[in-house]
Amino acid sequence: MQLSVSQVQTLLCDNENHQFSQLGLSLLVTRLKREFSKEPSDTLLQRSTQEINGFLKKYEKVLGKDHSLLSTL
Amino acid sequence: MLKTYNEAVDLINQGKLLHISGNGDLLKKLPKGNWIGGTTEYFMTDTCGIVTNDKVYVDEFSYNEYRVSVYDEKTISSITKDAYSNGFSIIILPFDSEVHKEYAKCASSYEDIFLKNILGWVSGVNLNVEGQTPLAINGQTSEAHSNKAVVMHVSLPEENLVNLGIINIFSENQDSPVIEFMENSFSAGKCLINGQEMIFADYIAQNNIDVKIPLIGDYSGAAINTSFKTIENGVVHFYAPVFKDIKYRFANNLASYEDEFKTRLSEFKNIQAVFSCNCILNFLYGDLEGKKMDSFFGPITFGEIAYQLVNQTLVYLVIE
Repeated sequence: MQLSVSQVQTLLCDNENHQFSQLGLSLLVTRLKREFSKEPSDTLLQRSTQEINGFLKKYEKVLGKDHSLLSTL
Repeated sequence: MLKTYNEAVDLINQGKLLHISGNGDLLKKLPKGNWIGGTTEYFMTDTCGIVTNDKVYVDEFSYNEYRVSVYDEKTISSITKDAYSNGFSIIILPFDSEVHKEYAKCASSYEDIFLKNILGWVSGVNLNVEGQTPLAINGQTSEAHSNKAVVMHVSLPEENLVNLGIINIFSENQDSPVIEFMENSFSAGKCLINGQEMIFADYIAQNNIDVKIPLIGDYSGAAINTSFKTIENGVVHFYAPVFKDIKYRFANNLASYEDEFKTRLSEFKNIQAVFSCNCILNFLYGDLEGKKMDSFFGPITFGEIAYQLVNQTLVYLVIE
């Protein structure tokens, strides 16, 4: 599973409090949201997309129900 | 498993890859070998919770590719570069050292931190014995560090899948106000309580908040604890930093620490952890000395690492 830039933008910007079950994903998304709220730039969005997709690729097999949550973005 | 000094020496001399926790004087006497160590005299064993200075707790790993690295506060951010792409890294940070503080505040921002499986603990002392120093020990050189982190990076075969998890027996009290802090810090004077600026220490006193119960930060689904250390001169001090932009709540009180642990651990009974550690505050507040748990044995620690520093939490590593 890979997210598009616009999906990541939705993830980082909308007010919904997404609740993930995979610890690393929860912590990663929280950090990226924090960074993006301080500096909402295209560069950071691209970098965040890369980082999230790197995570999803590596941990695809243990993502479980987080898959379906991400696919709703 | 809990081992005598001689049993630990035998394992080291056999060339085993080991993680060893125990009394500092005992650890410093161990021979050089493929091990790292940290100081604590508190353990959860398969028998019960134990406090001892004459045995060490040994975790053995049967992997061939590994390296041991030592970092100070200026170099610790390179831990993610040194970690294997498929593997895990166990970090030991001496309590209250500069490298402990740096890691606590900044680890979540290290490049690729969440793409590497970094877990571990903060070493400490026997709280009833004066004069001890929290240490992290590089067994390859026998160097004992009070101001440096020691890390064992382990590589795994491609077919192995690593999962790093936490068990938090606390849950957010839904009646708690939302608490927000002005800066990333180990201490707080003012804060926002439901959006209103207040002195945090005053709020705690006025509302009879039990500071044995942690704050819980909402990290997109992960409940991350921050434990109270002391309240002095109107300033609240914590065992881990609170972060600006994280919404915190007080946790629910526990009717029985022991029962809550057993209930929570039973939910994880199918997990075969190859390493775990649990917090000293859980051990002390839960009065776990002499109490038997069914799983998750290992050192009792002064801060736990699951990518970043967490408090009052059990951290475990699973390899599938």
